[in-house]
Amino acid sequence: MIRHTLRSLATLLFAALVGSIVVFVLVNMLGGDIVTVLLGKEAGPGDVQFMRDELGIDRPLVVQYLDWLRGVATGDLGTSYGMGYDIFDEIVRRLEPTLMITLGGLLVSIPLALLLGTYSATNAKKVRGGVIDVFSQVGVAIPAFWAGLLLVLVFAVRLGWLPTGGYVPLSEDPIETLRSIILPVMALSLGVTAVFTRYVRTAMIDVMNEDFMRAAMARGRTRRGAALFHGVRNASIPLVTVAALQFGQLIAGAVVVENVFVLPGIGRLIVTATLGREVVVVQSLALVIMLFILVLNFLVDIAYGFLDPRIRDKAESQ
Amino acid sequence: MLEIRDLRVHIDGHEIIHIDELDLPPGARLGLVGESGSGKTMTAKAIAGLLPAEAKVSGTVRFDGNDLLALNDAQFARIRGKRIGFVFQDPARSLNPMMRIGRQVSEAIRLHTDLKGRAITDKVVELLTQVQLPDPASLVRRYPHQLSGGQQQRVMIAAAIAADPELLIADEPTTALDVTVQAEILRLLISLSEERQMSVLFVSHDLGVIRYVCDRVAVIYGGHVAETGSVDDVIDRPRHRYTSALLAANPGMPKDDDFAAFMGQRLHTIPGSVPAVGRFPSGCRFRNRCGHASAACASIPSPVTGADGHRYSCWNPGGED
Amino acid sequence: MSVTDIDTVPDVDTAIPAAPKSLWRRLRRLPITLYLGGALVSIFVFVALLSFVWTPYPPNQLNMSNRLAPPGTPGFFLGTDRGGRDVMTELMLGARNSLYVSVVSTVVAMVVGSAIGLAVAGSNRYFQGPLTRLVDAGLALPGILTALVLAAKLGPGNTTATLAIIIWQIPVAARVTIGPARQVLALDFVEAAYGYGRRKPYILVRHVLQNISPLLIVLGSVMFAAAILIEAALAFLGVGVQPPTSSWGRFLNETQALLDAAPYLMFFPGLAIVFTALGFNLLGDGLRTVLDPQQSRSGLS
Repeated sequence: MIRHTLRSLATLLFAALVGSIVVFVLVNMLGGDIVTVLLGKEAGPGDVQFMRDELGIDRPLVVQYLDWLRGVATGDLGTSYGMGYDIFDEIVRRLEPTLMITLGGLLVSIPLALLLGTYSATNAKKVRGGVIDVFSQVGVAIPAFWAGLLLVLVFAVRLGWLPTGGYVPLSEDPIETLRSIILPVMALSLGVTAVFTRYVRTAMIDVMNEDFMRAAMARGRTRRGAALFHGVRNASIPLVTVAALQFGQLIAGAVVVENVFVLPGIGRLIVTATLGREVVVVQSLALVIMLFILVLNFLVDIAYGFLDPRIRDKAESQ
Repeated sequence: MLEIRDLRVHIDGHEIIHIDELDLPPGARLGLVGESGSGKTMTAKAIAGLLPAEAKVSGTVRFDGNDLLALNDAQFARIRGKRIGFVFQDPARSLNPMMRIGRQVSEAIRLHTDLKGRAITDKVVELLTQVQLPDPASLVRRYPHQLSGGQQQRVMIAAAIAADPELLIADEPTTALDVTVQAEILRLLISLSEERQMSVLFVSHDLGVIRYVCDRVAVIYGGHVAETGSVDDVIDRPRHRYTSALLAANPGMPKDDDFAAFMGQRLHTIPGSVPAVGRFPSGCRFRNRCGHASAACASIPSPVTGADGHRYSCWNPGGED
Repeated sequence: MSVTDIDTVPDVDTAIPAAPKSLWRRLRRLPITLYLGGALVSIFVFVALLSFVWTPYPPNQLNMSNRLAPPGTPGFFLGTDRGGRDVMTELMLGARNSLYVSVVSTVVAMVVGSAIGLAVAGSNRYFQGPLTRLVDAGLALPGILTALVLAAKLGPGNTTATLAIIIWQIPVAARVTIGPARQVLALDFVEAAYGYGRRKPYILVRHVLQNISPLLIVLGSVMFAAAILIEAALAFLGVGVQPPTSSWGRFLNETQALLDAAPYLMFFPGLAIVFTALGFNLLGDGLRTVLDPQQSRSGLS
């Protein structure tokens, strides 16, 4: 177990290091000078030099990189050039809507996918199973932003049941908070549910073919009973490994969905900053989001070790 | 106890199994023997309703007067584990790797009896003791991968007999195990059967093992019963040419019950190999590999019944009554 | 999106070609997903190519007297947008842009990614574990992050989008290649090839690549679908292709303000995206079934 944890931790750190280098290289070595991007081509030489000093751009790249990392580690991510806000404070301020919709998305999509995928696997040869299959194929192909537009059209514009967008913080009015995230969560969950349903289905079909499923039936389980009591437990092992991929999907979806519903979250912040060419803001935000996903992956990896007794023992005996 | 009549299994339109008649008397141990691909395992699974949905099963299997094949999944589930136990070939794959031993042994108890809580644990420990596993109290909390193959198979047997079934179906229960462990498992099965008055349907490709364990035997070839009767009749006085060929491929088999002497001796070679599904010849299914085949063998042989239920289907039987 | 399907691409050693039968019987036995996906993909490619030689109206022709005409208006089959541009023309041009971005990004990502995958599979065991786990971590990161970073630095546009999709898809292609390549490397004939003196790079290219090529075809199809979806998402966010080039995603962005006035405008580009992505995914599914009968039968035996 300890060995497993250490290895996961090493992977986390290694991946974070490589990821940060990639982001840094993309920002600093591709397509010319940051200052030109920030100030535009018309800036006078005095302004340019001021900016260069401000950003410390004339220092060696390695020094700049390490300085940036130190900043991220201490919560000092820099300030927005265009809008003047402190990046770290802004992230904290905008965390709530993003967390609300991503958590909501997880809570909706994972149980739903488990249900649909298991149902489809146990009815694999029947029409009912096929319908779920078609749903998941189509669901994978529907972009989150289009799903969002459709939902707004139906439930906000036409029926008027829910707001077209915007966000009310929990501290002000929890009911309104819920109302404001229902449509975003639905739009976000569609794709993730569809993808995860396919995984669950594959994993369940594989498990259903295992000898121990037949052994469970031989002890008096019905097919469905064996699927529920033995199948789900065992299928969860391969599912946990792919769940990590879903976090990335979820975050990507959140970025898009926040922009459809004008939610003042991290996703909207990074897109606004991108359109405003706020290179420094985007660079830091990208790294923070990346670290967030990697940490989630790390936690999933640990959970995986706990889940499978074989891995648990292997790690102990080594 | 078990009366099989006209049992047929079709897969993809091919008739894989056709058992016209086969009985298992109460308390008896019946062996199903044949080469791999003969259909013996599939017959066993068909009886327990454990074939995949693609297999179409027809005919009747009377178990204590009730036709098992007329049951739906839920009704069958109430019989499996409670009245019919099943032990599989590969214990490593037949135990759920993510479930504690105790949980798997107690599954049939939870499903089929009224026992609760502490009583279940006591029963599980008692079962593990019966199958002669060491330190049953702590074993309950272990996982399958922490056990040896022989121990795993003992766990499987304990799980199969947990709800005191009247019939135990054992499908090649020792094939996946070390030779030294095999004999122990077989002895365990015999003693359990005798203590509990439990009938056993024992599937094996090994005539030596069958003779050691069973009192009756059915020789299966191409999904048909070639010959059936008491172990002594069939093995000592075989009539069907396939039985003789099987025996000839198993030379030097002693008559006494000294099991250790048979170990390591397997069915070796009968000329040719078992044909693929749908490629069996018409008439007698064995005739393309049989040294005694004649023109008559092109039509289906009708069964001949002798004393003590010794029955065979062969146009040119060997031996004498 | 379809990072998803990578774990179910065929195992190499199980990909056994079906026994030769008459052409008609073989065609009839092909899975329906292959036909459905093939049809959708063919329509998409045909429309995209057709847009080079013919569109109902010249690209970007404004027609202020016909602004926001509903679908079915004579002369404007799918209606017109805010500037009176013909929607059908816009969609055909959008298909062209989707095709362009996804072809370039998929081809480049496939070549680079599978090369990396082969190299990792062929590397010695000390590197293999960490490298594989690194690729896994890369897989978990959403492509949109790279795209935003690139767009901030280089400015939005098709090149940015294409580059971002490439960077995102490389780990996908690498990950799918590693496992099967390792399987092939463990096969007997590879050992034999070492035996008579072949060097590793030769074996990787000559034997391994050839053996996993069916899998790469399936992968390509699935990556195409993902590329189409992410191109649309980037264009929708405004960090992808810029005016005057037409794009489905950008078109949807412009219709967002018109949900009240002209809701029908958002249907057709959305359907175009869904059907195209669905087509490529189905095609990938069908190809997988054909190239790997073993896997697709799982659940039956």
